[in-house]
Amino acid sequence: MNREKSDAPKPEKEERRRSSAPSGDKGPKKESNRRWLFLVVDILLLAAIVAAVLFLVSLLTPFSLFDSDREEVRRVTYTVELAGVERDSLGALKVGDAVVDSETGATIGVVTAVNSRAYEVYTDVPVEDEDLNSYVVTKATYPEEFNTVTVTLSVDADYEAGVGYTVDDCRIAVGRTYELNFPGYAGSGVCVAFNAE
Amino acid sequence: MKNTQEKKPASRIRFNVVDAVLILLAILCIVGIWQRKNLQSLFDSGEALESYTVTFEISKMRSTTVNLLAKDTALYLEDNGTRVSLGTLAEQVSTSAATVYLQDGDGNTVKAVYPQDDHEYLLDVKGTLNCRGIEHDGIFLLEGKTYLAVNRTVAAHTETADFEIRITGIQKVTG
Repeated sequence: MNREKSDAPKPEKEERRRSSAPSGDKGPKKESNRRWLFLVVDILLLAAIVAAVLFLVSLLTPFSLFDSDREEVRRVTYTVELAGVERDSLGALKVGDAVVDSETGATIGVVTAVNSRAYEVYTDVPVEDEDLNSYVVTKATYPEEFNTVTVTLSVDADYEAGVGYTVDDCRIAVGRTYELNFPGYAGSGVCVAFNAE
Repeated sequence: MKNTQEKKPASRIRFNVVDAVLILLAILCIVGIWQRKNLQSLFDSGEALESYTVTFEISKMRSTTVNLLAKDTALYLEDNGTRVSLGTLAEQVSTSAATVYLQDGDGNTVKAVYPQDDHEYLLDVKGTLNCRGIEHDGIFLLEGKTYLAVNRTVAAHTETADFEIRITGIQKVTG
């Protein structure tokens, strides 16, 4: 019995024929898809590198793009006390004046109130007070020529949690000493009161 | 005999170990940025910080400033340009009239109090801070990095006030 050759192509031969077909037969569309795939991989690689850099910067420096302690602007009113201001200079301190901190160059507020009183200093001479049953530090009052002036300032300051209030790198806080430049006067003063809205 | 070796079809997507490592690194970076604050603490101190109470004094503080030192107020200090947490006030600070030692007319050294007037009243302040730190060979390090000891005076600040405090005691919180 002769075996007849089957005309139907064997499955393996079909496969071989398909795989050996030149690549150009796959078409420009599939070539384009491959290019897009490589582009996506490149973008992912770049994203990985950028993420690594951001991570290192965020970890090792104070700078952070995702910092939740963002600054917010708040209105603050504070009082600075200037000691020993000469009487002739009192007129140079006016409501409405813009005041500059000479150290930072920042405009740290607009004058909203000016008050003056006699200039007094504590002495080294104690006096016995019978009511208190104790010695009391005495004060010496300077002549009327010299005054203690309290200037109230108002400004929009940047607030940051943990830092407090700043105006262009000049921190506003009770207890700080400022070298103040008024339009017609320059002097040193200490912040003695503070209020934020 | 025909070469039965079949040509392997060219794979469209090649994914190897290098790709896997890169993708893993990208995922770790994203998680790292998200959890950066927790990771930062690992770099800052190799040991776990413990709870301490630190007592302090402030001399001749204005009464209006004392009002800013309420319970749970956070204090900070600057250490080499870095802000370090001094902790929070355990309770409202206690006050007494500020005092100073002077010589009276007879040359005797006497303790005198600062008077209270309409414009200012100077007070001596005492307070307690809840903070964290570690102790190495008897040396206390605030937040694991800043040296603090009894009698040390440091420039401290809250968000609204600057002042100097003198450390009077450091105690570890037990239990």
